[in-house]
Order: sequence, then structure tokens, then C-alpha cells
Amino acid sequence: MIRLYIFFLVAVIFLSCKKNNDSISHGYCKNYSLNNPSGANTGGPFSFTGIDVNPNPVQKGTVAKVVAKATGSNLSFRWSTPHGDLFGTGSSIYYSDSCIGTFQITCTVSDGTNSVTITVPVNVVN
Amino acid sequence: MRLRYLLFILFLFSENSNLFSQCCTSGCCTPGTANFGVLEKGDLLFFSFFKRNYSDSYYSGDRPNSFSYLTNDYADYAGSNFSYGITNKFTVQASIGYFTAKVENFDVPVIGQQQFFAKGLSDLETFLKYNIFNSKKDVLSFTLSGGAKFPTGAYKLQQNNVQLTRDVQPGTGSYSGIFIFYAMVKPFKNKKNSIMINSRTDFNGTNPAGYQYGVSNTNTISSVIKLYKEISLIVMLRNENRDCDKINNSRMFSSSSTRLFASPGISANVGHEIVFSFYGDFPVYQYYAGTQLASKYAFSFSLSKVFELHKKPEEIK
Repeated sequence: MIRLYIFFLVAVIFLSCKKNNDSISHGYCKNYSLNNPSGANTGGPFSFTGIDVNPNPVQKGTVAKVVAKATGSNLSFRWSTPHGDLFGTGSSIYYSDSCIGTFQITCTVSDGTNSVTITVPVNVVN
Repeated sequence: MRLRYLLFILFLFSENSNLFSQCCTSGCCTPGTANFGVLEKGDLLFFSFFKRNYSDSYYSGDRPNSFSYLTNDYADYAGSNFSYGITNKFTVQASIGYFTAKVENFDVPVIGQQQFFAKGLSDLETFLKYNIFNSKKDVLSFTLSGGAKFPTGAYKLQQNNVQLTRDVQPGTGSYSGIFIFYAMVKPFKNKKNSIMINSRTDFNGTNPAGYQYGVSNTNTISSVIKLYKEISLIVMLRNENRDCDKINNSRMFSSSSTRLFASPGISANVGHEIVFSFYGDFPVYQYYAGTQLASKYAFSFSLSKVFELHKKPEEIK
């Protein structure tokens, strides 16, 4: 029976290692007023030079506007942060947090051929 | 003699609390007492439950705070535990569940009302329990458990290429080590009522995104009191201590807490040895570092049944 248990543990570890979390979509963000189109088409050659966070520092419980400075055709924007809340979609979103600290916001911009990832810090203060 | 046993385990309990006083978790969400201790050899315990947690106000320290950010937050969780008695001393247990809803409703200046929603499989927990001591006449017993949590749940769900907030993710993305001490004493001569003490500590690893949930420790003291025939009252006090979370090894001040809950419940044998239970969960005391969303209430109901898979010797009549 102990062998069976060990086999079970190994099987679980194996299965959990294979799981891909990147494209799961069992969730949603109901943005009552922030439905910016994803994949803005701004024209011109592809470039992604930075992310503007305004204001930064941001007071906890309030929002900072976060804008990806990118140009190109058929751009897609992927946003993530290890802490805090991201509202909206596309090249311009909002960040907010109820905890103070310094956190990272990461944006990956792609035009289907090229892809650039930039991470910026945001300070959340009292 | 029994009073001495009781004082002894209370002493152990207090030492244990001090040992892990910095930390604890609210993640140990299995309600009731059915999963404490070990099973007899060949017994399979199936325990299934549903739990809802609800929060709608912030605390700073041990006081309510007027801070307004989330208007409310709730989670609906359906879980199942399977325990099997390998021997009379060893029991193996596995627990997994599914968040049918994890919801946060915001009202934030500039952007107004927003809602995050996610659902999905939770992390898997497995334990090996060992009964280290059983007194004569089963008046006192101690059980130690060691286990691990596996990141089977998604922890970076996204919508329209934007990652949903960590608090609605159904998984943590990290492995954890879990250690449990359980003591049961029957302090009264009739041996009908028992007092159960359970102390669980989770040491959480760091997930691939660099987030590490703080060490957490949950202590419960509980008793089951028979009310009428097949109906029993469950009395439980639960203390949860949680250390700060970390991002890339930096401690986040506003994430540690100490909480005390009253968790009364009622259970009834509904036939075929299936036990139905209903539990409430009410905060008695809460202390939060910084400003954090505080618990308001939780409720849960469960079904449990023990299957005797091994033929046992018949009792001599």
C-alpha cells in the first residue's frame, strides 16, 4: 500500500509539471467601462520602448494609468503583475493595489513576428 | 489521571502555538472534525463538502477601517477528501477541490465598479498520518501527519491577455510541506465526549512568478457533543496565524494576520451511515498587519461516510 501511495505521489508530480497555465481562460474581468480593444493597430514599424505609469508612486486604493509605448501593426498586449489588480485591456490599462510596497508590472507586446517584454516597478504608498 | 492527560496535551498545544506564532493560514478550509486522526485498517473515509467564505470590510490592526477598495469578496469551494487506513497506525489522505467561484467586486475611484471572477481546480494535498500513541482504553491518543501540497490549480489565469488578480486564482503555483499534530482526549469517565486538538502548519514554497505565501499555522480545539440519538453538536474554536507573504524574497507587510474563529456545527446520521453536517464560521478576534480585507463569515456543509473495505472479525455475542 505504501508503494501505491508513492506511485500516486510521483504520478501527481508528473501530471502537475506538465500543466500549462498560460492559456487557461476559466475566469473573467468584468470591466464595466474599460473595454479597450486588444491588439491595437497603430501602424508603422514595430517598436516597444517602455511603459508609462502615472502617477508613480500611486496611493493605495487609487489607480495609476499604465500605458505601453508601442508602435506597429496588429499589436497584441499581454499584462501581468505578481501583486495588485490590473483593469482593462489593450495598450492602456489601470493598476491598483490595496497593499503598500514596490511591485512589478510586465507587458509583452507582439505583432505576430516580433515580441518584446518590458517590466517596470510601481510604488504603492499610504 | 485523565485531568493530567488533558493538562499535558494543553501544554503541548501551547508550546506548538508559540513555536509557530509568527504564521498561519486560512487555507486549511476543510470543515469539521471527521478528517482528524487515523482510521482503522481497511477503512475508507469519503468526505465531501461545500464552503463559502465572504468578506466585505477592511481592518487595520484589530479594528475595522473605513478604507474602501473591494466592496466584497467571496469564494465557493467544493472539496473532497479520501482517507484510507493502511494499518491501524497509518492512514493516507488526499484532498482536492474545485472553486466554483472566486469573485472580487471593486469600486475604485476613476474606473468605478469592476468585477474579477475565476473558477478552477484547487491544489492537491496528500498526507501520511501516523498514530504515535494510544493509551489504554483509548482515553488519549496522539497522531502526527506529514504531507505535501502540489500546484495542480491554475495560478495565472488571464482574460483578454490580462492576468487576473492573485486573490481570485484557484491555485498557488507552489509546492508546500504540511505538518499536523493531533491529540484526542476523553477527559470524562463515561468516555462519551472527547476533546480534540489539531495543529497544522504549512510551509509554502515560491511559485514561478516569485510569489511565496507566508508560513501559516492553524490550531483548533473542538468537541462533539451528542444531542439526541443521531444528532450531535460540534463545538470548535480555531486560531489562524499567518506570516507575511514574500515577492522575490521581499516581505510584504500587509499580509500577516492572527485570527480566532468560533466554528459551531451540527451533524446528523441521515441513514446508511452517511453523516451530514452544517457548520458556521464566525470571527471572534482578528488582527491584521497594515490594512487588509477581513473575514466576515463562512458556512459549509458536508457529507461523510466510512466504507469498511476489509472484512473485520465478527463480534462475539
